[in-house]
Amino acid sequence: MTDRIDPHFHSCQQVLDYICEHFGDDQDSDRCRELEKHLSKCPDCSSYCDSIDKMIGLYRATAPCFSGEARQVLLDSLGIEEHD
Amino acid sequence: MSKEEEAAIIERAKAGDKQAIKVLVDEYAPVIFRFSYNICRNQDKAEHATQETFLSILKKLNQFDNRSKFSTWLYTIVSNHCLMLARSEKTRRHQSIDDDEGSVPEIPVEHWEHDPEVSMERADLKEHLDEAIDKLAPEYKVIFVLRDIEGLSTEEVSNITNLSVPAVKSRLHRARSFLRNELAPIFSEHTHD
Repeated sequence: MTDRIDPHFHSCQQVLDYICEHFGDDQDSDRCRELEKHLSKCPDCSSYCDSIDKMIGLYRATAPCFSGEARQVLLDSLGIEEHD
Repeated sequence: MSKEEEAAIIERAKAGDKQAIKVLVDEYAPVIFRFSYNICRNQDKAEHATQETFLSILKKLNQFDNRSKFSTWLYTIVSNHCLMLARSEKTRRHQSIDDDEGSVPEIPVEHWEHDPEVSMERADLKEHLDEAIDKLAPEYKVIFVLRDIEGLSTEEVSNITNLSVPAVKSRLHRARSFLRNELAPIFSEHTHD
């Protein structure tokens, strides 16, 4: 990690911990705005964030949907007919 | 479905109303399937886990007391079910990323030039991802999937897994870093000399 640190964070590790806690949450807070400022200046943290984002996107994109056939098997196993 | 509508459907389902149970199936079976699939990365196993989880949910429905969100309760049941299944598959060896100290190791950062969602054939990508996920211990997979894939809050994940918030954060960081490092050779702009 580099030493390009926003004054509100003491280390890039703190930035990563903060990202860990707030990834995907509402970004409209003072702390998140400070984080964005740090990311715009720190290529290491920015790359880390970007790669996590891409990894999550890939994970989501490669999951299939629950099929109609599987739904029917489930309803059958629960003893429920379509017209119930 | 509003919270009030959901509560009414649950009460009807508790009384054995098949129409209400079908509403719960249509609302939550896709969620349970997606979660199960993201833990085991196998469609047949995920469909089976969805079926088993739903049977379990209907058996325990009278125990649900509306003190927590229904979805949180469902995630608790399906998480336990997936963990139980994973632990029963004793032939698999997961890489240890435990650390009792609670600190997270420094991560070498490389820029991922390629967007993995668009840069390679989907089947090829999926294979690499599944291999990486397969190496991750189920206790870490559950945290990663609940927090990052399902988008639950750290507090919700803590309630579902019965772990402290710091333990959830630590496991999440480790799981992310482990998967990222496993996938890095495929997606990095360059490799270390």
